[in-house]
Amino acid sequence: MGAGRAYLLVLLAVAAATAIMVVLRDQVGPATVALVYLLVVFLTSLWGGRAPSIFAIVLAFLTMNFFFTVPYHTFFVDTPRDVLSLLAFVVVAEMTNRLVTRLRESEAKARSQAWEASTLHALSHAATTSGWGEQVLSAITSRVVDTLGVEECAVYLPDAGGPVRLRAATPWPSPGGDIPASIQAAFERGSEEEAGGLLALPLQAGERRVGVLAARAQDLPAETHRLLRTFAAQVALVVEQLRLHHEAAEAEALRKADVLKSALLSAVSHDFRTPLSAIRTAASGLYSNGAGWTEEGRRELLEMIDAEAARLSRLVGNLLDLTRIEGGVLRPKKEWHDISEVAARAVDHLRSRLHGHQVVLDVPADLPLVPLDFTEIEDVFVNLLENSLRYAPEGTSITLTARADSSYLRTTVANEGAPIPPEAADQIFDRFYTMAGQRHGYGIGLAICKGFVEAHGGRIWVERPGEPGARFVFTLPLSEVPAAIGTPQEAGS
Amino acid sequence: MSGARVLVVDDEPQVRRALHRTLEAHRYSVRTVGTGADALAALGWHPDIVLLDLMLPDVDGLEVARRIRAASQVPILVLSVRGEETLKVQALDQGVDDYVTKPFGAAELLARIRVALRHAAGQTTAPVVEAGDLRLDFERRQVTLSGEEVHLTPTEYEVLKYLAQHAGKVVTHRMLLQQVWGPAYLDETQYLHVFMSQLRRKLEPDASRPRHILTEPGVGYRFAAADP
Repeated sequence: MGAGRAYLLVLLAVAAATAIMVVLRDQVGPATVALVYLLVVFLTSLWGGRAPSIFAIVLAFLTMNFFFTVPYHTFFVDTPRDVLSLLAFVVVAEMTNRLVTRLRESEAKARSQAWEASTLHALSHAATTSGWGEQVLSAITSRVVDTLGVEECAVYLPDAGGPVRLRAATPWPSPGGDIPASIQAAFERGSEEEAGGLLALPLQAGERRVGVLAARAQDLPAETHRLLRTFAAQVALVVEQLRLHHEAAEAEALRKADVLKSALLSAVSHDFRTPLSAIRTAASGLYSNGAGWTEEGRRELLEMIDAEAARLSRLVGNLLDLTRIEGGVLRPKKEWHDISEVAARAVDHLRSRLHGHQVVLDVPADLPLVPLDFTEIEDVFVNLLENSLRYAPEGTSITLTARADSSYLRTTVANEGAPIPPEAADQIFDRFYTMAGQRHGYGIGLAICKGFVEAHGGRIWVERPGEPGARFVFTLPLSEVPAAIGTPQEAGS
Repeated sequence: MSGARVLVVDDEPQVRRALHRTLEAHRYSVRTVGTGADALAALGWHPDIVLLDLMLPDVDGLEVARRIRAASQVPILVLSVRGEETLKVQALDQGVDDYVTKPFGAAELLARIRVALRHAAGQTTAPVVEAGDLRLDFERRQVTLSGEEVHLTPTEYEVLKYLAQHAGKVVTHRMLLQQVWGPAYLDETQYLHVFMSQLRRKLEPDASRPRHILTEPGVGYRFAAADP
């Protein structure tokens, strides 16, 4: 209620009460008159506040004196009874006024505290549940705008050692705007800066100044200003927490990358050296002078160079695959394929190295099409087959089986090699895992299988570890095969 | 085809040398360059085919392919590395003729070159295509497998015809969809795979080792050419 309007209303109320009572002056006694004025004062202090009600008391006192104490229409008072009435009125009215005012104040305070608490809670909730980085900051700024009724809110954080940069704002400003000088000033001086309706609050987390919270508002109420200040302290803590978390994650990633790098180097140097030395020996042998090469001998060495180079190429492919798996950027490009075609292509791929082993494909012709990334699943087969070639004695067979139930395709690659000890059955899929006593590591092949199969939503495991022969099983989820497209002309055929 | 001019564009000197020797040994006349700019300049030599590596030091390989295509209809064979499927598809849809994946064997490369040169010479509109036991007679719209007539739906026939007319060359999913179903179906790749599996069931005795319609994972299909 505007101040002028409150006084006007008081004036009208007192005038109306006076008018009515002047008409009824002969029927009502002074007590009634005092009670009616008291009512006006009471209502005024309830709705209008302290100052208007003091105005009401003064006004009521004067009119009472002027109209209702003998002699009428003068400010003289004849009887001690009337003097007492007037005095009692003023005292009671003022006491009422004070009581009501105090009541109102404590009520308002309680309401504002409750509002403040819920606002702060909502804001900290936004800060702690919105995931990461800029997202949290955007949640904070939009909360401030929603709950504190400011027009704009923004968070500025410094780049490492540099000037502050806008990180989140609601609403997001149109691009190209410069950062107001007061923001940088607030950050550098650690003081509140206000310029052109923009309030900049430094974010202080303990000793560290971590950024600036800015709010734009016309006539920012003192209450909101105070809330913003309280909130800035909270935001500072959140920002500091984010920074620490980020640093820790970075350190952890670096550590992991380091472990990966050294494991990779040792795996690479071992796995690459074998084909490389075969190639080098064969190639240098071929052009060495004086060697009486038969056509057959020459051909065998050339074939070896070709096969070993292909193996090197596969190793490089595996390393790239592993990097993609580690990088978490695996998005299988799923197409509908016949699993037997994928398996057969993998077998053909290794054809040149299969001489000692027999590969049996046991895949029914009526299996449903499977949504899969051809290259990735072919790689899974190739790696499982290579693994069998390496660990199963020559002359044995490797069996590739596929079966489907209603929701999964289940594929098994089984060999007649040594059993896989139960304690190794899980770790075997970890990269660079090497079983005790083995000269070759399982290296990265099985880790890639696991990565690809899981990226497809399937699972891979060792079946019946400890029993003779190694059996690797993987599943791939099936889904409903889409109906083939036809053109309208197909309808009749 | 002996004596045909091959322009090799690759930034790796070893690859250039190896290709030079290999192609020369097969009686092609060869010129090698290491950059996109040199490749465009060498078009004046009027090569019969261009082998183009997409990873070039100066210009984007795709851009080089576009500019070659703008200047001439010379067949372009892309030399790509594994994992560049998206790039390959982009190049093919832009008018590149085919690709081989590095590291490739000489036999594979030579076969691709022969196919591309044959297509460029327009020797592919034969009224009858025979590939092993499969025989396509375009004049009579008849397909036979080991002498037995195969009953195809009109769409299946169109797909097979398109593939056979590009025998030996890769045909991308989009090319097939565009050609047979029309531009509204360009993104129906998933359906295409199901459709192709049904078509193959009629043509391939062993689904695990298709002999006529080969899968190019992530790219498209290739009709196996009878290599003369």
